[in-house]
Amino acid sequence: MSAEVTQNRAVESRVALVKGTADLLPDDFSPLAEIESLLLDRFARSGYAPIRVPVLENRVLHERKSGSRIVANLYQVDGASNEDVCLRPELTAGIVRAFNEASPTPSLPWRVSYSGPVFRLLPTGPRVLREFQQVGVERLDTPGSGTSGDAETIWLAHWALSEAGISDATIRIGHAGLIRELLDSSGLPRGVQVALVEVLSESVQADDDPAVTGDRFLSAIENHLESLTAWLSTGVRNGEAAVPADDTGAAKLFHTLYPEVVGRRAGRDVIARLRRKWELGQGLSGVLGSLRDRLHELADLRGPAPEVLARLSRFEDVVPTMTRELRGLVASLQAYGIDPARVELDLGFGRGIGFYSQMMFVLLVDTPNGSLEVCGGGRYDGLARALGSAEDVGGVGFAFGLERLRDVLAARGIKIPSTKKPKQILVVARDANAFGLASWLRGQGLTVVIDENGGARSQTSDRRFDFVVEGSGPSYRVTDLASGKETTVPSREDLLRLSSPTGGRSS
Amino acid sequence: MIIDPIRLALPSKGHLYDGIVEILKTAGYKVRRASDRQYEATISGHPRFHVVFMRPTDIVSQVHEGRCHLGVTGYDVFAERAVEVDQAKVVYQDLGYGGCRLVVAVPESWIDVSHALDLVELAAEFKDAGKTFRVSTKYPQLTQEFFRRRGIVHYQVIDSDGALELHPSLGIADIIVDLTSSGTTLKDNRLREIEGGTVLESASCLIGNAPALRALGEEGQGGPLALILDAIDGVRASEGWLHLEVVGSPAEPAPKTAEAVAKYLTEGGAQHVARGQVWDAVGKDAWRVTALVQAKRVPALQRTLFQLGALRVVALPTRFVYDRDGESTFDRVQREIAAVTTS
Repeated sequence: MSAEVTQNRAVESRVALVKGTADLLPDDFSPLAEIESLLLDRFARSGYAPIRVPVLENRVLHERKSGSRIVANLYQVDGASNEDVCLRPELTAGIVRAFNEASPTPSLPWRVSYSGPVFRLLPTGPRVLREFQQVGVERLDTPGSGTSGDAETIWLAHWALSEAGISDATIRIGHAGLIRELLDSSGLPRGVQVALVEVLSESVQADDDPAVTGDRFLSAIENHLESLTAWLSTGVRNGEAAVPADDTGAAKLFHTLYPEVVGRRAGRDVIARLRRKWELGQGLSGVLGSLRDRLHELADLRGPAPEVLARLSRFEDVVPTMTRELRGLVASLQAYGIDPARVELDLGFGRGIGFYSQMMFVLLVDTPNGSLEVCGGGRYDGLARALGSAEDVGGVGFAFGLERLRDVLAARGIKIPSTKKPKQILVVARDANAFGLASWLRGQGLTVVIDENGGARSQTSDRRFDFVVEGSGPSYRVTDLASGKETTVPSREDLLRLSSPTGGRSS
Repeated sequence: MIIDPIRLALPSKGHLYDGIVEILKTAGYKVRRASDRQYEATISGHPRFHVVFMRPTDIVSQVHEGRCHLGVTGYDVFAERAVEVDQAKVVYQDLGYGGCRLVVAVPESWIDVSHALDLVELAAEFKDAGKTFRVSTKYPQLTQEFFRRRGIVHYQVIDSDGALELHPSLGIADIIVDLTSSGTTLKDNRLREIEGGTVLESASCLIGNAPALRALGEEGQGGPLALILDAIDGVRASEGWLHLEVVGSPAEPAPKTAEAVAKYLTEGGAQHVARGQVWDAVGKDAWRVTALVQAKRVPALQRTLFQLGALRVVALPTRFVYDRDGESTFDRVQREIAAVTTS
């Protein structure tokens, strides 16, 4: 932006806020800090110790498992020496990496909590934040240790939200196991399965209306299965034209048609893959049809937990572990005191199936602007191994979006009660003695601000302060800003007594 | 706030330049440029417009930042940076020239790779073999978005400005994502497209700075933005169409013949067909049918028209075509800008 000239004085262009970020001035920051403090306190009471991991992480950490939506929006750090470094888009991967690298390895279960900024290069728009804060927990444990960890984390998220003032959130629980099981038994190549999981995972937003979610999920399935059919039919066409029955003949024909093979793949790799694809195309058309039917059935499995659990019995033979886990989980949540009617099961709930290995959940809150997701999480067994751990370590966790939670609380008119703070004193500096008094009072644990303007009205009427103190000592004049009452105290010790939390007026 | 001058950024040379200058001239906005080396110009009869010439990538930045209020560039260039340049809004996505496609191209010897889904498997195979699947492109953002939608995560983008067609044979990359219009260059370099591998359909496009579009929109339907967009709308709608006038013999049973001619033209794809009674030079009853007909179809129509009873067929060039029910770009842009403001 060019410099503007105002009243014959050159004014430099204003340096603006980076898009998708927000300044939090004291009045904006305070409610956010109160919510963060409340959440971390409730996590700590449940045995989750706070930790901190870096904002900068290797890009590959997130590429391995974070899901394509997150990977596509990574904030890459520019610079020749930092080509593979990014700003973290979430904290789970960093925490699992920290566990893998810790020496000695922490004992399981390892319960930690965190709070910090995350960064996603989202398309900008009104109210879209590219830097926002997540507050959450991770519990690393032994894989296959049952659903007790799942129940503990879901309960903790729900309880922390109740403590913040929202006790009527819906807990929507999904499970990646059924979809993965269906795909595994379909005979589709692994790479194609991974792609299908990604597509289904990206097809929905958790706080979509369930009917919309279902429709999007099904239309994503339909679109992808159509693409698969097209893909296999092109494979068969090519196969018929170019693959003779034996490998020697195929190789000869291939080298006649393409005497020079361009690129980093050898001719035999091309032929081998073509043959595999051709064989797959021969046998898979029927499989795709039955896969489509089963996925449709799956998408239909959503509603209140008791009702869906009853309907789940027909999948008992296909995925016995998953059905057992879901029943166990709902029972454990009931033991924690959560009404099953508050729990909604949605087995077509596609978001996150690329990242989570089994259970996944979100907390949804009704607001005047519709139902909004304030917290999401799930189980991610296998992540530690994907990040290079030699041991099988399981994990489950969740994160609250702090700004989102603040907005939802505000929309519902809920104010987090302020934690008790020491009294705040404004010392009016009429001479240098004020600085000594301020230092002494701060040393005694009080919050003191020096008014260098000699008691200007704007400062002395500031609602942050409890008392205004004037004088050079040994006696001081004290004004109680709430009552307007003025007193004179003979010494600074008397001033301290007046200002202590038990002295003077209560804060 | 009145914007004056209205800065219009155009590509300085090449087919993107030729096309827009032609459209503007037909629309009544002749660009007056003293020489090819001059980077500023005016528009005859429209003193508020100030034309500047720059590279297509710079045009996107300058319109986003508001130094230029309108700009013509390739849609591919805009789309690649769309996430970042959120103050640049598309006014016309396709100005009707400069068409090309951004496509995935693989070595032609990869006969096992015929569909975009094959890339999913290939990327996974490369990873399993401890290799990185490499993709050369000048469009890393669009490429990553395309791959992400297909669940392809494990690959490396080689961001390059050079001739990408050589990259697979030199081992720099395994495949490329590049622009093509006829596919000849790809074929000459032993590459080919695959099914489902079109990343983007592109053409020359007009973009505008959102706050400037809002400010100019406030000048209303008689303002400079409405007038230039209405003119371009008219020119775009007339492209490829001729105004056909068919006059029939007074001796024929006029209404019946006119009806048959109108029916024949309508069935042949003509638009805005109208018929009516006229009188010839000596006052005898005759008929006339008018229509908009695609220019390339006119020679094939004339013999049948004479057989149906026409005496004379005249096809006139059209310069502006407006349809009461047609969409006005100015109105659409104003709606879109208002929607963004209130959301």
